Amino acid sequence: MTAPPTGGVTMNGAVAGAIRGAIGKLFAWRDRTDADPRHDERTAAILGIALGATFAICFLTGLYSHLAQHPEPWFHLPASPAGLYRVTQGVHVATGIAAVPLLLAKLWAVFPRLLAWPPFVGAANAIERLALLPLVGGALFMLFSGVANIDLWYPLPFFFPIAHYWVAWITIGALVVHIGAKITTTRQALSSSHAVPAAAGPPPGDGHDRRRFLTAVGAGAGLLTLVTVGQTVAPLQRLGLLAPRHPDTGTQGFPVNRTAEEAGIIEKAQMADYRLAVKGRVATPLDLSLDDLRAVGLNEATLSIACVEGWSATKRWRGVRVRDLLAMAGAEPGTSVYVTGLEQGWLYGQSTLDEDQSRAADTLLAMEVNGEPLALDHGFPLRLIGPNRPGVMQTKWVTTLEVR
Amino acid sequence: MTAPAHPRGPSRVGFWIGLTIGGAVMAYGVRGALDGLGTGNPTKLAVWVVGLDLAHDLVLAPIVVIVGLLLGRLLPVRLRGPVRTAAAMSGLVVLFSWPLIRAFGRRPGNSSTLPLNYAHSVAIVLAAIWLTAAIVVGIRWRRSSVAD
Repeated sequence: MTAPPTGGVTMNGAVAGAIRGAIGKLFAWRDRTDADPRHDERTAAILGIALGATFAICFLTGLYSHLAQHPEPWFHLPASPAGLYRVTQGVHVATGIAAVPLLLAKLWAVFPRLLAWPPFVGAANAIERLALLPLVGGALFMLFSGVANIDLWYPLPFFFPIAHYWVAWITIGALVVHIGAKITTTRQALSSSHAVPAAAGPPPGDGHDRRRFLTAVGAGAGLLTLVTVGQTVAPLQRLGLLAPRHPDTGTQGFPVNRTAEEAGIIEKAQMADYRLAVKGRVATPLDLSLDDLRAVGLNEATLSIACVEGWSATKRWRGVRVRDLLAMAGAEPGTSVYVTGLEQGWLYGQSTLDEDQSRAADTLLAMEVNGEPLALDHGFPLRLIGPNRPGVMQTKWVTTLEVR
Repeated sequence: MTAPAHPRGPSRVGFWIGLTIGGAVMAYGVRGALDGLGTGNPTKLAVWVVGLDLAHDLVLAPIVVIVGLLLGRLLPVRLRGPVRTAAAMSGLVVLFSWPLIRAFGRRPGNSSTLPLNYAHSVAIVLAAIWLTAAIVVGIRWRRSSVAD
């Protein structure tokens, strides 16, 4: 007889035993899923198509958002439709949220195949299965990092927008490989001869039913959408139990991303000699006080702050038209405007107005919102607000318009 | 042990077209990540991508399967479907809401960040899920007793 094991060894033994037991159960479960329509190719194909559609929508809207924020020389953000970015980014975030249950359901449906043995047959099959690593890992990363970001949680040890953007390309590439490999199987699985569930399937009532399963997956996607989409669809705000932002909650009744305190501009923004400079490619550089600006004439525009995080709030703004200032200064045509504010040294402390946007009647340096002077957190005394712009490019505490 | 449904061999033409286009797109993404993320970070990114995959395949999916098996063993046939669905939905909601419940992203001095008591929100959503499951069980029970 051997010496009695120490506590640690017993623990390790118990854990190893539990893991062995769990693995045994998993493989026994895998063998039983052969006759289960929730794990067959038809279910995988249906979920795959739904998931492919959501990822395509997220990819395209994401590319648009990326271009809007990181302009390329060939891309100009149009001034109309004014609510375009609000819609594309609202759709991006809502679709990504709806994809969470779709992805988990799809992975559960095909999980028995992960446990297949041997792991591959032939070189092409080996490549196909290897490409599942960037596909599944990439898809999980996209949804995890996206959800964390809208929750204002930054657990990644690198910059979120760059990682989210490049992993999107990797994931979509892996998805194209996967579609190429599966297109015939998918077509066969969706043809009518495969529509009837396997006769050998477990009896109904046990939940082993494709339609019920897919209905539940759809209900999961619908549920998450319903409790979050109120962050941009105002009438559904009361249902937004899991919305990380509410359009009517925050200083002056709408959300703030960067507070005046975080930006460290509280004193500078309230100085009596606050000035706006208009310079660069202009005939007459301007240096204006707030009273000078009011004398130029104030105009109103109803525009949304539409955040990359998927929330939006529509407000009535009042301020000086950027185009009036450009005309006063004699700005050359064919130019863009580089807008900077008090907060320097931060990535989003400045933004660019393309010609189309800088000349739009609704592009304002706002001084008031909903009939009140802007709060410090919303950019007092002067913030940029323009049509079809990501919220982070509606620069606050504006001090300079540089015509370029 | 019976052989599991093995993944079928890929369709040949589609596979090579997909591999060529998809491979190029992936290579573009990998190059962008290498160039754009800064020294050392592409390795960290790879660890995250592979790590999330392993966390799903080795932890989350096995837990879901084993909980499903346990529920199947413990529950009468009539309750299995609705209870498993409600359990899966509850797991989904809790997983999705975890950063909200823990309020990782709430910022002092900014009342608009994570403005709700999300534990309370999750409790309401879970109550709605289980109430729906109970109603489904009730309807099926009534239907079957009427049929009898």
